[in-house]
Amino acid sequence: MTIAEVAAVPLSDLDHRAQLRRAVIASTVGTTIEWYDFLLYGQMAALVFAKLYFPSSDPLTGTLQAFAVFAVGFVARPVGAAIFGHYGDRIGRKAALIATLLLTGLSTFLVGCVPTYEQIGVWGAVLLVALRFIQGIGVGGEWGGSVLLSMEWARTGKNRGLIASWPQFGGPAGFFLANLAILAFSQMSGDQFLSWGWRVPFWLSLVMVGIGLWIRLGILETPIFQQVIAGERVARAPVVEVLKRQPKESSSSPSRGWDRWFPPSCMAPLFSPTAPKPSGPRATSCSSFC
Amino acid sequence: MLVVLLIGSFFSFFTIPFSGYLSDRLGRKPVYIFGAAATGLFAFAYYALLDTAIPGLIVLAVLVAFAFHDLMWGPLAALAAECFTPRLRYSGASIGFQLAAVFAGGPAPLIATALLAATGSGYVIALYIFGCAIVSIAATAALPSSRDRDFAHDHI
Repeated sequence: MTIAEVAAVPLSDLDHRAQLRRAVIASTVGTTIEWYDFLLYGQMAALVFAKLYFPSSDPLTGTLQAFAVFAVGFVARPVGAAIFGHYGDRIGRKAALIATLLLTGLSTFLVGCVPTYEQIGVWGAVLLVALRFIQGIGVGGEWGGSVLLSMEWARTGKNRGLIASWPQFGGPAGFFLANLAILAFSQMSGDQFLSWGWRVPFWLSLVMVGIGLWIRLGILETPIFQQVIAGERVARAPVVEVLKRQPKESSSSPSRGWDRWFPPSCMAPLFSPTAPKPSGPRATSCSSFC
Repeated sequence: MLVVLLIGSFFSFFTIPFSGYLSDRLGRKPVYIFGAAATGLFAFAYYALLDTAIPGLIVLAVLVAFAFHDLMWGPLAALAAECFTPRLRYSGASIGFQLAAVFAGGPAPLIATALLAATGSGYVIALYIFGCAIVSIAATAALPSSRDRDFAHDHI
């Protein structure tokens, strides 16, 4: 796939600038969609899933709920990072990013289709957990790739920081859209939201993924990765090699990585004693942010 | 509360690119480390402002917290990607970032909730944030200065 996309002739200044712009848009839009998906699931888990999929009468479903909301999504993310890191360094940034978008988008859409506990019993909860895992793999592969897609089109080191910060913009943008969708659909009269309204924001993901896919299919592989291919320097096992050669860099990220939602998520639980409104579910939902 | 967070994330639409721009002018590490220190210290003021339960002060607290946090979040992308040589970059940057989600981002809300339940004080959470900030600063200081590295060619 990538081989065919390697530009035969160097791009003109104008074309390069246009490609840079398209790459930044493609990465930012895609990242926004994936954060929308990931955060939407976390929010809905507290609002809806507990009622429809995890009735308290069944102890097994209670355990599954804890997994669905917290562990699974997070455990899946480094798995996705390793899988798509491997393919992104071997086949290319573009191919990997199309795969992550599809994986995340389709699993999110399917979450909106899972039959409830009343219909298929505990299998509804099992499906939700499985889909969350697949979604987490997609999200785990997305971040690194979208940052590189933007950055590797930058021509000088003078504006790489700004260019790389655009995909970071996708975090709050996805958060904003997910909560807007929930606000909009939860305005429906109670029963309608619970019976089908909550599913619509998940289905909307499919529309967004269609748009994101259309944008991402139209971009070229980054010039820097083209050089890697042209120079026949593609790593055989990039994940193993990077852990061996740059262990400090690979592991120092975790320690400096409090995630984007750290302040809001820590604030939410505090709110229960001070705010008059009961915020139990909200505290849980905030906790499930990345 | 949700509305306050929506306002905060809208505010971030501007502070994130600005932080990225700052990292081009001043360097990734200085901006990131300043952001970590500011977030760690502001955490105490943050919970004090929330405790007042005055809406205007709560919004202010959230906006300032987001602004300081975005001083890390903006340059983080470039900082992480520039640590790695092109042929290993996708793997290295992805794994570092996503491991952070497991060890720091994921449990953080659980830890915060547990701390609050155990002590009833937001300042204990602030202390925890402060501790995270120190770890962040130490880890970032240990990284090589990434901005001046040859981004396009292998360096290991």
